[in-house]
Amino acid sequence: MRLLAPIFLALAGLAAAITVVLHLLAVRRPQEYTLPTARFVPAGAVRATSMARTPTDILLLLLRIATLLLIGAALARPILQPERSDLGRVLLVDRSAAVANDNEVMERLSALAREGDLVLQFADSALPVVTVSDPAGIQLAPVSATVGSLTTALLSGQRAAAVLGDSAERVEIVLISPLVQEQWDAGTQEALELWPGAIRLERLRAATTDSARSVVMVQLPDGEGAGSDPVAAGAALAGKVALFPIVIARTGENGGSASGTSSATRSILVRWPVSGVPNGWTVREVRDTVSAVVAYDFASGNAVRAASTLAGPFERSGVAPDLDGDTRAIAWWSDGEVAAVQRSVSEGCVREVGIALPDGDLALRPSFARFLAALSVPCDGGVASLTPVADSLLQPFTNRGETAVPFERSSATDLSAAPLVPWLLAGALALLGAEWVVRRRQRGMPEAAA
Amino acid sequence: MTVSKSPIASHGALLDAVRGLRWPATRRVSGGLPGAHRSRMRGTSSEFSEYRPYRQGDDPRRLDWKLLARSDRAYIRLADDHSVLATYVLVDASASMAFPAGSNAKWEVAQRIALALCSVVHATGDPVALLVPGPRPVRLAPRTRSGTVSDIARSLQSVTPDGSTPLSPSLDMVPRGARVVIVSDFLGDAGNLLSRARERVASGGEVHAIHVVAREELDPPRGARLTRDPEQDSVRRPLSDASRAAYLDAFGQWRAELMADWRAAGAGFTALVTDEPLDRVVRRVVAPVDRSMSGSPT
Repeated sequence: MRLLAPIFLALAGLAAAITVVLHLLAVRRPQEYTLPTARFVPAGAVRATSMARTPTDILLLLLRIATLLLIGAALARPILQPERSDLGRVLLVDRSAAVANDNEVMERLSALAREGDLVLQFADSALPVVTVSDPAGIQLAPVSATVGSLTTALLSGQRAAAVLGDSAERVEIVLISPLVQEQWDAGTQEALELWPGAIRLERLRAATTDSARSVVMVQLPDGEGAGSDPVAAGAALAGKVALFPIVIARTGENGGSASGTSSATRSILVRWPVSGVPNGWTVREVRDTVSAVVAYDFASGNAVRAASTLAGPFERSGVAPDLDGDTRAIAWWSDGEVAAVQRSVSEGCVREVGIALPDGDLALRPSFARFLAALSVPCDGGVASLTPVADSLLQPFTNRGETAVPFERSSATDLSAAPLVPWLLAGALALLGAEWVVRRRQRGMPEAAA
Repeated sequence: MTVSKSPIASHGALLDAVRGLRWPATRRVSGGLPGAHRSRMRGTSSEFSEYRPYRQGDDPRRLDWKLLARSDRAYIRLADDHSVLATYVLVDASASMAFPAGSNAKWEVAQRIALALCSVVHATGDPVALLVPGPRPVRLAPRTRSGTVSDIARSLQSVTPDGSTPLSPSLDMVPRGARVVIVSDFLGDAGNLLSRARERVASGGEVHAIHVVAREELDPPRGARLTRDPEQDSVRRPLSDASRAAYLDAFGQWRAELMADWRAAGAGFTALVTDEPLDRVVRRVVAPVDRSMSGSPT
């Protein structure tokens, strides 16, 4: 039980003490004494105030004290609250594309999470807050294809910590994240400074192009060897070029069997026929040649950082479909004509590349690897590469003393959980009635001889 | 066989202490019977007092013939007569004398001082009478026979102080020439009593007032009390430590005024406190000394 306004209970206790004193100082007729010379005593009130050793009117006194205390307790607004645990944790779990290994997230989370903790997942959009009831069975949202703002996550975590403070004596914010620079914005430092303690950092391995997921898979037509396909060869040579696996379907003109990206794996499907044009493209009546093709590498989905340019004697045989809301260009010929498009499908996108690679070593050049990386940008924008935040930048916030911050219970607790107030007031009212009855009865009784 | 205890047995020490005291009258008495007090009558007793020139109407038998023969002057011989002086002891037995409750010290002292004075008077050979007004009044006529003191003691012992019967009517019953001793706390009809006493003194009588004050009246118990006058139930006053001083002042002033009034009236006035040795009080009463020295409010 907790009192929102304990001063009223203290005042009620003071009033009760005064009541006891008043009952000790009851005005009553003192002991009678026969004195023949009483006429020489100065005239005065027959009743005199005297201090008794024991209070008078015990029943009335008890009723009055109980009434005062009940009124004080009611005004003090008692609320019933569960016992607070010693330590509560707000677990900020990074579900952005910065996470290299999801298993690592789960391992850390399982080791840290306890019943009653709050799990906040953050990526590039709001994710549900999970209250831990079974540490082993925490269900996390899929990893996003993008990275979001760490500032938002920290502020949300501090807000959640304030809520958790009602059920825990101390609250700790644990940040389970790789912490990449792409998540660090102008407000992150200020958000970290807002937290009075140190942020406990469980740093994960950041997803980079070197991670295991960034595999380029090339589906070749039947009978076609990997060694004879320049894309396959270039991909093999480029190694890990993107955050997400790239599946390049080189199977025929219709672009293979894959239907689109998978939200679970976030792999990128690229239809890049060995010859001809992707399905839906118009075959150019007169083939021409182009010297270069440019693809833009979108970083963080916000700004164009660099362009990947492939230079060579390209033979242009197709015309890209008209661009609309579902179809947009992702690569252009040097003359500005669209060379690759991205079509939106129900759960992602499919990229179609109408570029026939010329013979030669084009696929072996570094620029080809960057071109592949540009093609591996997630459908809804995103990052293609991430840079971990330097430890020196984090040290001021991880070395600020105790990570567990003591929390007072919030006064803005739900008052509907305090049904005692009306009962206390009703009890006080009943006692007042009883006091009135007792007082009336005593007044009706003949005055006892003092 | 039971031996009846004499009513004066319990007062033996006091009576022994006052034995031998004489209580002469302060004025010549007008009594006829021979006694111990100088009489206003100039008679034929053998105790020569003086000569006085013969005046017409004097008894020629009282002429000193020898002097007349020697000096040819007619003188008559005057001789002092002595007569008895009846003493009436008026004892207040009102409810205010039954104080303090339990010991009734005021009443006990009043009856003891009355008995002691009666004893002194009786030893002088004067008749002594007892008057105790009250619901059951006691009146013993003046007598000199033996056993009078015992009768008085018995009568006093039979009285229980109660009520608020005034004393002044009883004073009217006393003959003019008699000596009156009033033993009282003067909390009743003190005004009327003083007025009657003044008249009596003015007419040649002798009045002695003995004011009985209880020690508890001079030093009432401390703490808050509601005091009640036993003779006037309507008088109820709260006595506390705060009002105690005012009470003592008022009581002391009243006693001083009382003594001054009685002495101004020509009466004797002796104040006694219940814890005083009574034989000394008796000596103060009967001693023919300057009354201004006898007794003062405590």
